[in-house]
Amino acid sequence: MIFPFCAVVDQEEMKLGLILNVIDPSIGGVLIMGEKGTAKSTTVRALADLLPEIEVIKGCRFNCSPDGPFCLECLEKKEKGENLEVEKNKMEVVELPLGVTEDRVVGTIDVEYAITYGKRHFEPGLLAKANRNFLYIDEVNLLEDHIVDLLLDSAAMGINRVEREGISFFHPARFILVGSMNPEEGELRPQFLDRFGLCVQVRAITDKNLRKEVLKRKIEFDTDPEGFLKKWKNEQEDLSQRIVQAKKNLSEVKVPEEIYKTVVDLTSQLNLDGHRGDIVLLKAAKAYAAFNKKDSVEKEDLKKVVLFSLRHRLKRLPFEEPEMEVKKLYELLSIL
Amino acid sequence: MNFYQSFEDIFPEVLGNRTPKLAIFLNLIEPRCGGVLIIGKKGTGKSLMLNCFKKILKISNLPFVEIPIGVTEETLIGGINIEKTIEKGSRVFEKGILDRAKKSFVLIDDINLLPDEYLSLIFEKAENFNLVATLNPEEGVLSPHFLDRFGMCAVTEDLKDPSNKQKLLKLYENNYQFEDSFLEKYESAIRKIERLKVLKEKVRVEEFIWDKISETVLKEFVFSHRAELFLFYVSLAYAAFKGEFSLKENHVDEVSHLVLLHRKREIEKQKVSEERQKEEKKEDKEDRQDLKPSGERKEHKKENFSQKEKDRSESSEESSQIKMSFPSNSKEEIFGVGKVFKVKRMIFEKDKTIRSTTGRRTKSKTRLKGGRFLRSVMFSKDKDIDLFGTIRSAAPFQVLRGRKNKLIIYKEDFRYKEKERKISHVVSFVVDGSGSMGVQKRMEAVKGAILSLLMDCYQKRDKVSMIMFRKNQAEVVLPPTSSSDLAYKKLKDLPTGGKTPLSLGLLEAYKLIKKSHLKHPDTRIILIVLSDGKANQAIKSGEDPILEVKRICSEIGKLSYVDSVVIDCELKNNFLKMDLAKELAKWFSGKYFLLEDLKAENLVNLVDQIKTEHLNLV
Repeated sequence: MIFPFCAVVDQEEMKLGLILNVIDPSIGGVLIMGEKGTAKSTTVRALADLLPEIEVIKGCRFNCSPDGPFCLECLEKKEKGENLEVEKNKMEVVELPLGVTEDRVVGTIDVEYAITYGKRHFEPGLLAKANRNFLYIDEVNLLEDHIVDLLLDSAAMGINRVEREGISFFHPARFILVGSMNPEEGELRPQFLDRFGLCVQVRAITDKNLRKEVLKRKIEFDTDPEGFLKKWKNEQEDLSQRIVQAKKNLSEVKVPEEIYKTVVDLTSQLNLDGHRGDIVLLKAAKAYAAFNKKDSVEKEDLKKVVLFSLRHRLKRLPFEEPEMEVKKLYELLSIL
Repeated sequence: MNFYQSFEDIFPEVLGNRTPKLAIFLNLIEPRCGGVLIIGKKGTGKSLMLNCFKKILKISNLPFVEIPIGVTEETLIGGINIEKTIEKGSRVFEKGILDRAKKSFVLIDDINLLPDEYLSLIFEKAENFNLVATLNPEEGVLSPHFLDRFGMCAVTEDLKDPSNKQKLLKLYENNYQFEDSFLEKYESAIRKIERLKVLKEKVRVEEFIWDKISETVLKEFVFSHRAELFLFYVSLAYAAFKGEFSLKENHVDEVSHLVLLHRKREIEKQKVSEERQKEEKKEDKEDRQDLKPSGERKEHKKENFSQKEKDRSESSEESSQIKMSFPSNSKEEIFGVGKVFKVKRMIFEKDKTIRSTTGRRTKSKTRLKGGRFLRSVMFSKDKDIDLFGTIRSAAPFQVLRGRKNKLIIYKEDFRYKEKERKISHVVSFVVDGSGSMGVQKRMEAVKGAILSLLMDCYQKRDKVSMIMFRKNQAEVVLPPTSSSDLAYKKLKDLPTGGKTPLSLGLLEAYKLIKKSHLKHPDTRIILIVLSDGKANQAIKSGEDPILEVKRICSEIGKLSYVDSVVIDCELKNNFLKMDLAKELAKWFSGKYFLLEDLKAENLVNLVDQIKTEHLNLV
């Protein structure tokens, strides 16, 4: 039984960040930074309930989309001229545990099959499962370096290429990366950090009334989960309906010429590395506009998403908080 | 066609970035150009560039293989084909990726993330194929030895022009199908390549070009012969690219940066220094080689000064000519913390101990569940069975054992996993706070260096401790801790002044090392001594202070779990130069660095430099 997403008190930034990624998966995920016990994991897991259905090729172990790119198995079928059937599957949140092994991440030889039949056969790993789904890593900053390397490799190309133990295989691995971390426990490698589309901050709620509400809801859920879910059912359905609608409308959302200019002006003044900041900012603003049923992006939409699109890309000196740059960002926003 | 316009048509998915585009294009016209290394910071289009290259190879049906980061040794160099082996009853081998790669292109994204063992396997056979790879210098770089294997190196950059940036946004706001876009442009590029391949055979080469090439290479203090060879082919392809029929000097000039960028060493330093200093440098190098015969890499690893640093050292040179005062030992001062920089990576060799700790600095064999799989072994205490290895070793005997369907596995078939993961160290700083360090605010630079090292330790999850010696005492100012902030606070307030009881400081370090070894016998300890080595006070009165130092050093040198590093803080342009710290490193049998040489690895600096230096293509 999963705690309903809508019942999570406050933490609007985190919720919005996740929702925007459902609307446009190419935003590239969310990094959630915050202390322990601020509903990071609860919220991500709760997301599963809201996820829409996507079209996949029937029977494909790698969740291939009917529009491609395809895995090796689907490609072979296509070449043989077989008709690829399409079915609908719900998107999932796939968890990557910290102690995971390389084999488990990229996939490996199916040992059982090898022992029984003496033949090699590819057994998909977590990256296969995560294709076109959410890949969630709790305490992502504690993930071992060599696992991070593997994730970086597939995230860059959107393909998981396996060359292990005599197996040669590839399949698409376009996952939406969601990580949560407590920054005090250590930082992420810069290259990995940049792979997260958005970066949201969660803070412990200090408002007494809100805290009371958190406590009440949690206890209510624990004592009567079914009743609690029923109570939130309508709200959950409304939200998931709204997301589906926004997903449909996304391609219709127009971007006025001045918005491009504003984005570029903004990022040029902030001294960022690379162009991911620009692209993510625009995509997030578009998704936000779609979420609010608008047909074109406005400056207000940019303002709403700019902080979590750029926060983790601001340069900072060692032993220095990025506050200076954030301040600058706010100043620039006030001119907008 | 306009020369610049032609760059927009090569890989239309990538805006700007003419240099890497040119490099890849020349490499396609003439594969003897020796491959391309694409360097760039995150989000500047490295992987995209590699993908475009792959696309063009696919469309023109050229053979290529890709090596993913998760590759295993087995598939890289080949191994047993278990299916056939089981059937035949004797070992049947199959080729690895590297054998299949003969005479084709090899693509590696983020090449620096591959473990060193695999890199050497790949580069061993690098003659057989044309390697195109990407590298993000923020994540560590390749050793110069490997770098030299690449014919060309090009840097990807951010777009500067706002209108170009807007263009990029429009291109990437919608997710288009990468594979099917811009096909006409790709096809016209392929036709162009075919044309130029023919054309390049007709390019005339006159005698003076050979001189020009050698001169160009030597001017940049590059000594590798590969550089000349590659430069020739690259220039030739470039002449064809420009549609000319004879190879001219300006062709060589215009592409020389592609070939020389990753081979340059401390060029700026050499430019400014005078003959005499050059001589010294050579001696320096030789000494260092003596110190560490296994570390031939070291020789190449010296740093490029950034422009600012150069200015600073020049200005300090000037001031040293004016003010040649002798160090006064009586004054006591607290100096500020100097400039912080990114520290060069110090590599310590793996040892044999199997540990169960983790960290981020040095690789070590591990007993823990995780870790990178290294190899299959027959004996292991930890009984972590390598299933595939076991099947592989059982495979040849299946016929003999009379297999019907399920594999028959005996006890002797069992293979175990040997894994490695990174560990952290305890880093012990021994800081000289004597009066001689106060000369020309030397201590400021030293503090800056320590802070830089501290940051590095923090990122690598090392514990740090600090010992300060000056006047008549040595003091543990910071017992081993994981808090770098605390260390920073202590560092800020360290005073300078007085005599140099180096031996006492080292003795204190020795005690500290012994103590922490007793507590955590698995931990490797790094001892970093920052001093000019001018010991002038002994522990026992009447003893020779230098002799004392020597004795303690060799004691510490004997401890197998300690790696020592000496950072020479002496001002090298001073006529009082004594190079005592170098001796110190010898006694430790440890590493030796000049304070100025601590700065991060070459390529990181180079990438930063490139941004200011505008590449002249036309």
